[in-house]
Amino acid sequence: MMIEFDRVTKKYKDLTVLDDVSFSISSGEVVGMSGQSGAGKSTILKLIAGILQPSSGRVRIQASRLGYVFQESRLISWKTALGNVTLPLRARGICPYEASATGRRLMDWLGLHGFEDTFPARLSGGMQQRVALARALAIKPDLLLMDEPFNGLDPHLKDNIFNLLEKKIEKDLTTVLYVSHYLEELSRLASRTIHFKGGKLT
Amino acid sequence: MREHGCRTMKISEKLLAVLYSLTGILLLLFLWQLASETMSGLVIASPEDTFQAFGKILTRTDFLSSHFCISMQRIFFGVTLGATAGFVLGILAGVSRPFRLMLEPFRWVLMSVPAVIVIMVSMLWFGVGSMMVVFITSVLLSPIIYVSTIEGMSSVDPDLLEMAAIYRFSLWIKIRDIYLMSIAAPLASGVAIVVGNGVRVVILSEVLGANEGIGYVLSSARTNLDIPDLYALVLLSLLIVGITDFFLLKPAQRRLMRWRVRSDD
Repeated sequence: MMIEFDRVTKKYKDLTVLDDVSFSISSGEVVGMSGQSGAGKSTILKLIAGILQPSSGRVRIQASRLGYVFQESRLISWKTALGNVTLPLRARGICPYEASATGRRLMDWLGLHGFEDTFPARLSGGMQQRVALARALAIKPDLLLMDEPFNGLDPHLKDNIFNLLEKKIEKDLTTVLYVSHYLEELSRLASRTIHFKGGKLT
Repeated sequence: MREHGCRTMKISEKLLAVLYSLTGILLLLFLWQLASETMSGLVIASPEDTFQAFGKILTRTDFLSSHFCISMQRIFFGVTLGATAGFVLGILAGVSRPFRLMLEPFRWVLMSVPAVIVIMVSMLWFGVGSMMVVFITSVLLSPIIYVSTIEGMSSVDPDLLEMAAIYRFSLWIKIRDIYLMSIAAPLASGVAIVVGNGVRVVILSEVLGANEGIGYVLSSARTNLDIPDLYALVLLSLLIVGITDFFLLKPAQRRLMRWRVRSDD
């Protein structure tokens, strides 16, 4: 199993966000996750990423390289697009030349050729999200978490990104957990979907 | 064609800005000349007399090699020590709330006490000379950088820190690529204020208690009623601030902030 939630509860003071949740995701599986706002979807991703700890229960993860695409791009404004893409590689000790070559290749692939030296503030919202996706893919993640990353993008661009992403996931056998409000997006990318309501799996 | 039009507009805007600045300078010189003619030359030296005295001062080797050099050294060491102390304490206070609360009374005292009192006390402690001037300058300037650093530390985006945690950035990468750049903007403003204040504090300290330096020469000029010299030294201190700001601080600030989208872009 790549991800295993065993009777996980997460509370913020008196507020129970996740209530006795158990599920598992196998290696190489692409799973969609849906639910209303506040249903606990982002909390699940943060528990998997290790930036939150469960109040009770156990979360088991077997990923060594984790990619995360947030709702907003979370790019570092004072680094160029390429600088943002290569930073996780540099953090893993990859030499600048190799990191730059990987970053450029991914940016080309995502249609960002020519914007390598551009700062995020000069990129459109769609371009910023593609840079964030390139950053997540740069480390060749064995687990990719995506938290409604393409909300607000125009349908044509979204369609292009999905096409590219489908190929990449299939090629690299990446395990993916994709959060979205839109069931048609989930059914396109995911082999199965889990649904949350009021902090419980339904 | 459109790009060419935009570029032409930018150039004409820049020219207009230079024109406005030149008009301001000419207006200042005109008012200065008018004031010197209206009042006695013992109160306000004319621009012409001031510029002549300025030229003479700059050709005096004893002035350049001793008084000017000593003041510049005092400014450099005072600003560097004050800025470093303020920066280090600001980082620590930004990380630790108890430490910040502990330093708060010191910050309040140093930012509230009149400079002249600090000078008097320092003269008692260190006597007259460079040690006293550097001490006063660094003590009075460190709170400015301290406050700018704390402001910068509090503006670090928690979302970026969360992203850094997920991608397992090392502490060094977090400091270099997130913390330092987050505090760069408020710090750059703080440094610009500190350099201007540094020149003022050093000259004030030298006027009140030194036997060398620009302030000392200024004090002598006042005692001897050498008004053109006095105005020339004021002009020199303005030039020190102006040149540092224009050729050192502003280019550094532009380079640091080049990622920002300016309103005229």
